[in-house]
Amino acid sequence: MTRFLSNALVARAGYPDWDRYCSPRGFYPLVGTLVPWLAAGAFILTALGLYVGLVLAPADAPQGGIYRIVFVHVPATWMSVFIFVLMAFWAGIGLLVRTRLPGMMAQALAPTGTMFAFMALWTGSLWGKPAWGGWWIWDVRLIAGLVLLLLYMAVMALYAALDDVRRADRIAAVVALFGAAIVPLNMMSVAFFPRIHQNPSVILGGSSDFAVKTIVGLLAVAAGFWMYGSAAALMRLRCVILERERHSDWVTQCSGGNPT
Amino acid sequence: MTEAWWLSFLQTGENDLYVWGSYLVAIALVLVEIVLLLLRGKTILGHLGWVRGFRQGLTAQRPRLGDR
Repeated sequence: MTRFLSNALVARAGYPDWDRYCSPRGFYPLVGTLVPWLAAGAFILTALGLYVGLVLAPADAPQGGIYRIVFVHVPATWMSVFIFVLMAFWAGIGLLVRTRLPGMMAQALAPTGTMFAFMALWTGSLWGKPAWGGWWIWDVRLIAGLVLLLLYMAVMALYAALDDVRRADRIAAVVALFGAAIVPLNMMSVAFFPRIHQNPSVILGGSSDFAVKTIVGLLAVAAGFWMYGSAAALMRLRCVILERERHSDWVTQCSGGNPT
Repeated sequence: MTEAWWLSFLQTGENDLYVWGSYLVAIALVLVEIVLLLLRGKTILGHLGWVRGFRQGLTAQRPRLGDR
């Protein structure tokens, strides 16, 4: 009775039927609608953030102009960690509820996370050479970033190596969930093991060493990177859905016959 | 020696190349990801016959000379 009433209320209020987005068939068109908006938002926010950061923001007193690498290095680092947490979350959901879509989400997120982890390490290296005098230093923060990249690559390698995608989903979920243990170490390493890496650029609820314009530029680029990461992962999700569901009725009907 | 405008634009002093290098690396990585993504999409759509069907739909509207 309660379920009937709630369904009736939902139908009367005109709310969308969210349940259908839990299946790949229902989610596929929604993704297609979201991607162009996310891509446009990514372009606008990144361009705006870079303009504020590279043109309007003042030079940093201790480091001079070299600190401007922060506008690409820090958002890339944030995104590499955030996407790994998201990937572990979806992989864990897939392990618990044994449905298809969470595993597809995890598979689609891994390459974008790898790209951001690679970008964070490379730009950090380009910052480290003039700032510290070396391309690489065995600092806990840097090692945690490298391990994160290797974990991303392990997840991608699993999906590439195993033909049974559901088995790959389960093994990748275990790797992602165990690998998520490195995320707190990555985020807190500067506080726990202070060595050479500088303090966090932005502290929630705390003060920052940067000027307000620098913080605004940094947050705008981070939002742009988040939208780009979402657009890229969702575009890849469409490919993954079609690859895995190519023998299902709805894909066959859309393609007008049997796949070639 | 006068510094090139595209290097002095950021006013980062002697470390210009590191700053520009980091942004070029970021742009290159994003472009590589987008190209790989588009190729993957094209591959699966071609496998399903959607690309071929789309092209046939386009060419069907434009009969070539001699088709009669």
